[in-house]
Amino acid sequence: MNAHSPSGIDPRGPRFGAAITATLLLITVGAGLETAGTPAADLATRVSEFPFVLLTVLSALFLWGFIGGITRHPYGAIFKKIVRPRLSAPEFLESAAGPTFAQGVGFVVTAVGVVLHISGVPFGLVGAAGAAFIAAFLNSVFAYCLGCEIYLVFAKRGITFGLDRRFGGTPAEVSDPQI
Amino acid sequence: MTTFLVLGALVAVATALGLIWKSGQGKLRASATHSVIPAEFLTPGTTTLLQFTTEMCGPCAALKPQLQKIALYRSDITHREVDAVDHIDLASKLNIRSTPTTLIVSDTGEIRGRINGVAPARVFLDAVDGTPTATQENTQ
Repeated sequence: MNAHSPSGIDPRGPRFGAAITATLLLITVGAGLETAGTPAADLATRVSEFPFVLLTVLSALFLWGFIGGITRHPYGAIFKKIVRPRLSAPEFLESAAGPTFAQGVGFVVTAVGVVLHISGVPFGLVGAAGAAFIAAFLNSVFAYCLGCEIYLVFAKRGITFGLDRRFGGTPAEVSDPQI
Repeated sequence: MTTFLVLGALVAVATALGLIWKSGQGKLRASATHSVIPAEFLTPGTTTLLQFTTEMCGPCAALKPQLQKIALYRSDITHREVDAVDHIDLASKLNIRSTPTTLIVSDTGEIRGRINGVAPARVFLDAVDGTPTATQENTQ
């Protein structure tokens, strides 16, 4: 483990963040549906629409989580300061690599939506937001980490995006989680 | 109105996918592969709970101490942890698509079943003892 995650993270932290993300993505889809089929003709209008701004912010947060690591994500800070003190100690800790990679997957999916909307592609924004919502919902409600499974697929081919160096090692079973 | 219908459908689809995934977790399944586990992963005279894991797998960390405890209390059971990425050839041959996946392996290397995900200790013990309480399904 490195400085990011000397003892692993509380697995409830990423699920808490995923719940917030899923809610915001559902709002994005709801707000974007009305004009999804017929995007505004001019770029200035399209990029000033609320669903676009919200998805762009979410995409930036995903990027933050991927580059800085899940332990430095703002939702993680909220979880650590407000939520975790009210919970019992986690039964186990997990490596930050999987959730961090999942942030990267979330960034790619939402960035595709942002680009499609900028390009004026009908349903591009709500389609991407809907796909990202399903992944975030599965993570928060069922603890299914789609990004972690995708990471395994890449790792089997020797592609780890450097995450093994950043977060490598087995999480210790100690009670000092980073988030 | 349409918006709420679409949002409701989206939540319903996500819930259905989650339930489908969850229904496949923690159940003993027969192994469709006829591969024999190499002796280096086995302990003579014991049934091995061969747990495939990865560094980024959260549930693996939860399952490991549980399987270790089973092996501690049952001298005829051994727990071995195998990193699926480090042993990619074996993992591919055994069709390990997600972690944790635990194989129940006889002392001759024969795979008697597999359990995807985390399950109560009773499921693993039933799998080793061959008792009918475990849910057995065909896989793949």
